[in-house]
Amino acid sequence: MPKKAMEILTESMFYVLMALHHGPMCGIDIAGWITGRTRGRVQLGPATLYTILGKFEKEGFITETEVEGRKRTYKITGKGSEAYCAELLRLRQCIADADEI
Amino acid sequence: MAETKHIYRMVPCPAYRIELFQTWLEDLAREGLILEPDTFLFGIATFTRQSPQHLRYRLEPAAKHAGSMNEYDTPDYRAAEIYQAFGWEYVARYGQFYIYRCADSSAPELHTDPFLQELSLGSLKKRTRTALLTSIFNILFFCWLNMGFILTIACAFVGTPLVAAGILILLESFMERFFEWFHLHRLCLKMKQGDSPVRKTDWRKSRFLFRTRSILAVILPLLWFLAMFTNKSDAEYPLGDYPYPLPFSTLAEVFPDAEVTIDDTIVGSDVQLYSDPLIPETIEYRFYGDVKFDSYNISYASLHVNYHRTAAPFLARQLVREYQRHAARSNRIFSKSDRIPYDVSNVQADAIVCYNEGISVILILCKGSEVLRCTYLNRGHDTDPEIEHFAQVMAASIG
Repeated sequence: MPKKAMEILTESMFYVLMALHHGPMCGIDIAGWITGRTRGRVQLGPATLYTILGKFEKEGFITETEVEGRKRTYKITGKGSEAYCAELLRLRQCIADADEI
Repeated sequence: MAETKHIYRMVPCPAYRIELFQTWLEDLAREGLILEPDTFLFGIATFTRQSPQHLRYRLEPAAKHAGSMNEYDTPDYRAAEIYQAFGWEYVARYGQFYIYRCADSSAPELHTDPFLQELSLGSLKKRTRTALLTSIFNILFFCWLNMGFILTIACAFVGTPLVAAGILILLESFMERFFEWFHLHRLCLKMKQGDSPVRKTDWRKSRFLFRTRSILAVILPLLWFLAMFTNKSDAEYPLGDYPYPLPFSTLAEVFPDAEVTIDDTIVGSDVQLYSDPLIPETIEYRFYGDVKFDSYNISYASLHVNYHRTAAPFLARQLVREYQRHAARSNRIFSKSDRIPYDVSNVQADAIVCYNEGISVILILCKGSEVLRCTYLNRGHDTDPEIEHFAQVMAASIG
């Protein structure tokens, strides 16, 4: 039986996909990008980041492109982009549904 | 250069009490005791005295079972690199947790997403659940091995200290696995609700109990080993050389008109003695020989007697119940013979049961603090005693 793809994307996971959708980055740059993008609202801890990167790599959402000493660069895959866009669509639909009320 | 003085502290709680453990390390750091890298040994941590510091300590579960001899003894190097980049330094491993600390108050928390933190803790919880189920299986296997809780019989032959230590070890193992699973489960539920672990200063309250349990966890296996190597049959004699009077009747008393002789051609007759605090005297008697009435009336017979003198009459009755239970299970599992009970209600005893099982006669009785469990086999039909006579003679010889 094939493993299920990640069905639930938390806010942290969504922002990591967003950061990598923006362009390839290393771990600490991802955290910094997210903090800047959200004006400090979303902080990414190293263990959270490591867990997310590990899960995304396992699911095929991202791939490691470069290793330079301690610096590892990741980029989003086609599958990851699809997951990101699907989640973006879902969130937009949620907002649209709320705006209708 | 001044030598660094090491200070040792016994951990106050198990590592799975993450909140207490983290708070303990942080409180000690505020007192100037800083944890030394990789210095946990048998529940004792090594610290150095420095100036008081506001450090954050966090425990991170290992992804797979972490042991001194495997690759999970230290965290994944990629994890350590990312954590280092954020200001978190790996310090040591304790149990199934890696300990990180951070001196920078502006650095983000190790985990900022409780849902994801619950996922990493969840894999440890699964392993703990497996260990708990294994512990339950061990207890059930122990019960099955004892053919249904024949603990008093076990005490008679292997010794109460060994049996008690074995039970306590099994129970301690089960309790430890249960509490570990329970606390991890509770923490996971908390994280699923979006809450992160907090500071909990009541590690002081739990340390006495935990330390006592930790010491017991070390002492019990030692006691068990000691009991195992010191407990054996106190003495063993070939039956013909046994120098003391037996406290129960033998075939010589059952057949007073016959000549009863030992025949060790095939199997040796012997007597083994045991002693125990609860059952001060146990004699295991095995006779194999001939019962000769006259030149034409000879049969091969055997008599096995387990005699027990217990410390109290209730133990004697318990032994009778256990012998009955054990015999019933043995028959169900092994011999599957028909069991024909005999009416021995006229025999004076506090508890008595007698039945024919296959070609043997089984007699189990107790009077006061004494118990007899006899297996009688006679291959000569003409010399079969009245079973009630056999039971009367054996019962009259004790109490």
